[in-house]
Amino acid sequence: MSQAKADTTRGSAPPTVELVSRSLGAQVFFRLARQPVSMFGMAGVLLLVSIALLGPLVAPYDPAALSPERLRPPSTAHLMGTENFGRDVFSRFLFGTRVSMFVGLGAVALGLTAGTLLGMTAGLRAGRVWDTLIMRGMDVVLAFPLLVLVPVLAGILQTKTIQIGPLGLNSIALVGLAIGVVSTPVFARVARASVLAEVREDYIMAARSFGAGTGDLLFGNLWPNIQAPLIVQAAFSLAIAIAAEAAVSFLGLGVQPPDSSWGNMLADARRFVISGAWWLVVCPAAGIALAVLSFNLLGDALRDALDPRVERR
Amino acid sequence: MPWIRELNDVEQSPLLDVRGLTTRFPSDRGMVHAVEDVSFCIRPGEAVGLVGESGSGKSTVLRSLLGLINPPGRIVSGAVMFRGRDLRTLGEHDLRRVRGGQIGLILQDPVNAFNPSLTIGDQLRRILRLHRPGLPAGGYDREISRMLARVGVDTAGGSKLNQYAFNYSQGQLQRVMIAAACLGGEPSLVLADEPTTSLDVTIEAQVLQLLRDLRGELGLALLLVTHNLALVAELCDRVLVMYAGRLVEDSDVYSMFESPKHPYTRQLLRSLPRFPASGARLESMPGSVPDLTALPPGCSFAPRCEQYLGAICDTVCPSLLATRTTDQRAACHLYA
Amino acid sequence: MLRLILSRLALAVPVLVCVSIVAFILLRLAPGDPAQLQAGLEASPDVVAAVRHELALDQPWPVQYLTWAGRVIHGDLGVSYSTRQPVTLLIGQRLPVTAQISITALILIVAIGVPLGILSALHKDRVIDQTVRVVSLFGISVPNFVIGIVLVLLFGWYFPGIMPYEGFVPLGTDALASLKTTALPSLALALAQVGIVARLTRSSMLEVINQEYITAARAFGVSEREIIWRDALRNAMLPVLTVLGIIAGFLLGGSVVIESVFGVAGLGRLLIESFASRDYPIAIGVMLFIAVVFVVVNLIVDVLYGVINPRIRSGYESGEG
Repeated sequence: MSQAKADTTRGSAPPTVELVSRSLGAQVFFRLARQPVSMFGMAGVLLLVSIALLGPLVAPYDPAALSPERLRPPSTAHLMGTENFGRDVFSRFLFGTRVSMFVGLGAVALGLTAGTLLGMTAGLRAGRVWDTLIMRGMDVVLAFPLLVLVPVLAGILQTKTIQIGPLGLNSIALVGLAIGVVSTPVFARVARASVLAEVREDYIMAARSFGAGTGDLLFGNLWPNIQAPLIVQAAFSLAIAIAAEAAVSFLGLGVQPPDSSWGNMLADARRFVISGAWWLVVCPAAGIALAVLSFNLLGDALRDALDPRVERR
Repeated sequence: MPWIRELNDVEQSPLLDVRGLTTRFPSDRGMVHAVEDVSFCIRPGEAVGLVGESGSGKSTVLRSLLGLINPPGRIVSGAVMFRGRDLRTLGEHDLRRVRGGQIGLILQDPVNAFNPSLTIGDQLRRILRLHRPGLPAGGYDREISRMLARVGVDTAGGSKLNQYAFNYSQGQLQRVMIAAACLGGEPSLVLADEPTTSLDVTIEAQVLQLLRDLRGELGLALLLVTHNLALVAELCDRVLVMYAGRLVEDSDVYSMFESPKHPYTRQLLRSLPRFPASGARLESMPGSVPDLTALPPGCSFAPRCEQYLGAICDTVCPSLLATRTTDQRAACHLYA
Repeated sequence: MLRLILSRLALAVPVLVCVSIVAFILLRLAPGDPAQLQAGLEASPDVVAAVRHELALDQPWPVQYLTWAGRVIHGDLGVSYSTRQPVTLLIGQRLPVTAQISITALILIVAIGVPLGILSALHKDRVIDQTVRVVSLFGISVPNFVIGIVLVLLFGWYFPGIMPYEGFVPLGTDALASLKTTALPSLALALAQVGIVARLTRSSMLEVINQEYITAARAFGVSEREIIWRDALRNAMLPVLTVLGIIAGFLLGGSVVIESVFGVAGLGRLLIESFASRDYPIAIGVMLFIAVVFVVVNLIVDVLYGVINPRIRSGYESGEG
């Protein structure tokens, strides 16, 4: 895309036009930068990613270390107090941030990849067997409310520690996998709809007339143009995935102790809140709220920034 | 005799007197000066054409007259004197009586002008309820059928009134709109915003004829916004030409076509194809329409003007001045 | 219209069958042997085998599924492994609880969200609009159970005695107490979703208000009030209606968690408990029931949409849709 500066001149000479060209990424960034709200979203995401990466390195205590100081309110020794086994809440929060973010990002990465591949295939074979099969399959996945499917999936795979090469999948990875499966249909729908919309455009017909095969079409022509809605959906799905992990772990069906995640920290919080242990709620609640808010804002901002026709209000 | 003097006064005092109308829209790129300092008059029964390219501000002028500018756009200054009262100072209650009752509006795209979720009958009944207090409530449908029959829409005994806009054809909808505007209340002025632009050519001719007939019957004054000069030639007594938000020429229709005074009008008329084709190249105007957020201090047309006079054109914005012919005014330093 | 309803129901059946098959398989893949759990962890292998035979768990899976499916068609969802009570009875006991909370939440969402959205749209960019937008954003970001925990903290520790934060009283027993026990759970569910409805109403209204037919109505002298209530709202409500179908889904899913937060013995809790005890009939029965509710709710939304939007309605009537 480019911006044209026209110079209207007297007389009959045609106007000279300068084209100032920017890459898509740069354009998006500048548009995003103008909105204070979207900057907040980006800042929030950066903050969380930093905590996820660096937090465990600076945690004052080992999150699994038991101590006799049980259920103590915040103090100089323990910034956010201790929980019922004497473990430091703040350290558990730092490690838990890494867990929750990992689950969310992993789940969306999985859903995005699987969903896009499925959706693009369905879109290109629209109306025929593969399309129907894939999309009905997605409907079945969607028919299960999230909170039913994830615990069932996570529950099944849970004790069968699956070894894939050097990786042993524990409860964390399995929750991520389960949420990834549940996120797939959304991406499949977006990808399919985008492909259907683009396929009608003339440039696809032109490419076909030059002999482009399916692979060329998919990656050469279609992919650049359907990226935008997928990226936007990824942001929103991240918000949903993080909230889903929290809910599932809260119910005890997700990330298992001694690993901490925002969700299972809240499960502890619920049990002790009626005796006034308010400090158990603050960190995980703030973490979830910040994550969901930031990704939602980012999604909104990306949607506005990537749509060349939207006029910002 | 006093009553003769009164009659004369009525003849001479204009029905619509617009003074210094200025409307602006804030946008991301800056303040858009859609309409700048526009002044003109319309006499009772007179048909005036308001022409210009897209973006010249002509539709905005129309909407500003009735106060129909949506925020964040605003009418910044000016007076709209209709029958001696400034419409801009009227309270909502009085303004609503004028809208539809004394001034009618015909919009460009009839399909979008009606609410898709309400029946045509409901929408027309609402108009009658507002502007025909004398009618008994039961007589609405009969009156509506009569109105629509007059513009050539058959309501099949009233049953078509219970249908929705998407059941009507484009031509029918435009006629319904004309009926609502001209016959709904008792207007003395009708504003028409590109009434035939989105219609097929065959329907266009019929609609034009309809407008002409109604004007003749009801003695309506008409302000017709269009970019189509041929329409103006057919329907109008006078022409107003707009460029980049300002009025550049105000003249009677014959004089405008025969001897246009403003350089823009001249260059515009020269660029029209003529039939039979003479074989000569079509002329086009150099340059392009200026950016309405960054208008130059002087005449907006100066960069493209063939009769550029020098520094004065770039620094001083000309106002509408009388030219040697009294019926024509042009905003150009040529006539200073 | 009738044709539409029937065709939608017909389409739903294969999806429901698939859902039941998938659920069936997933449950049996999960580790943990229901027979063992019912017999007791110390029971001898013989006892366990007997229990397994009694529960028909020694049959091949396809046979188990078909017997179950055959019973379902006759309205029999089987009996619980642990209490031997009919699943339909259990669902019938727990359903009103969940329904009461969910429906109250839905009413709250619409009653708070729609007016806020309209106000926000009409006073765009002014104080009330900014406030509503910010609050909505927070509401969407904080999960319902977090709101629930905060409410429990407030009414369980800081201000005890005003509102019950645990348990549930059915309407029949004591209406006032029932409403009180419904209040906090519904509020937690509602607050999380109000933001979505408010934002959607706002953007929908804004879009409608800028349409030509609104300007045209003004040009004909219609009052602002009538324009908002009669012209704008009708068209603005259409997208909100479709979202309500999705929201109903969230409410169902959300009630699973909320019931745990507030200690309410509803359908959600029943489901979670059945996972833990590997009580297959209950698990599948409830999952199937939820899927059916989804289908019905979406169907109702489609029908309502047709009622309000005349163009779609005639499409339905002429056999499209």
